[in-house]
Amino acid sequence: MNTISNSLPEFTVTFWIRVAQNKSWSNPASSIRFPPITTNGIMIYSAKYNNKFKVFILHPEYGYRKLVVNVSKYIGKDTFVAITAKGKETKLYLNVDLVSTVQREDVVSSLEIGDFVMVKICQGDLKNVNIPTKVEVIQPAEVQSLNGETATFYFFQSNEIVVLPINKLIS
Amino acid sequence: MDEIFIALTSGNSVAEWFLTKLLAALLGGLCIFLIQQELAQRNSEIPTRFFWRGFWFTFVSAVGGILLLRPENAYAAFSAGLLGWYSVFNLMKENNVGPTGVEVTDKAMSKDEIMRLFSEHNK
Repeated sequence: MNTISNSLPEFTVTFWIRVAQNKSWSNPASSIRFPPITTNGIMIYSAKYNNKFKVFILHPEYGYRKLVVNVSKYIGKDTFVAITAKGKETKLYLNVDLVSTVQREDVVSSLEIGDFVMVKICQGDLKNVNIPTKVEVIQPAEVQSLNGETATFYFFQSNEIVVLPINKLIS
Repeated sequence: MDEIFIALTSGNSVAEWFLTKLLAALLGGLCIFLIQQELAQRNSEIPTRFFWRGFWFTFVSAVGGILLLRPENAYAAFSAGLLGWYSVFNLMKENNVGPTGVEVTDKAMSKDEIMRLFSEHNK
């Protein structure tokens, strides 16, 4: 697991999940992968799997964070989502209730298939991305399978599926 | 050759019916499943695994299409399989716009500040 900066950026991202615009939010059995949000260099992927709500925060300096919460209480209601990041701590609020807190160190232990992550890429890792020698690039990817010390990543920006060591993850 | 083909696709006997109409309808159902998967992926929805949800999707599409449209031959059965579920699917389709009203600040807000923002939006 890599860490890229000790002085992590600080930010808050807020958004609404309105029932009128997201009918499936009212269905406890629905699975929704919401369209990603990209703002100020921060990418936010969110998804609802039955009563579980997952939020992934991807940032080139911050790496990635995953917050998972049971949303049974919020299903069928307009939900105000707030994500705050300060130092090593990331918090998720739903309708102003603090529902989840994650520390930088906890991220890799909860790695699952379907997670959105930030991966350090070197020369030769990706066919469609030309990286000069001794240069490292951080790219967002989706975990497709886990195989012990390695994982299969789908790099959606370059449309490539590659097996890489898990220690290439950036948090 | 033509006569054999016509006999097989006419669906007049029970065996032909199963071999042609049901098979063609299943093929139609499978096609609509694959199209639906492609559309779902473009809309950022979660793809469905073929076993068992996808299989049932195909099966319901095929049988539903046969029952709804009562196709006369294999060609019509293919279309029936294709349309059987699609008509139902369109009725069931729920469109998710996703998150709205996105705001970003370059500081970590406190709970009170989040409450203030929440109250402002709820006015």
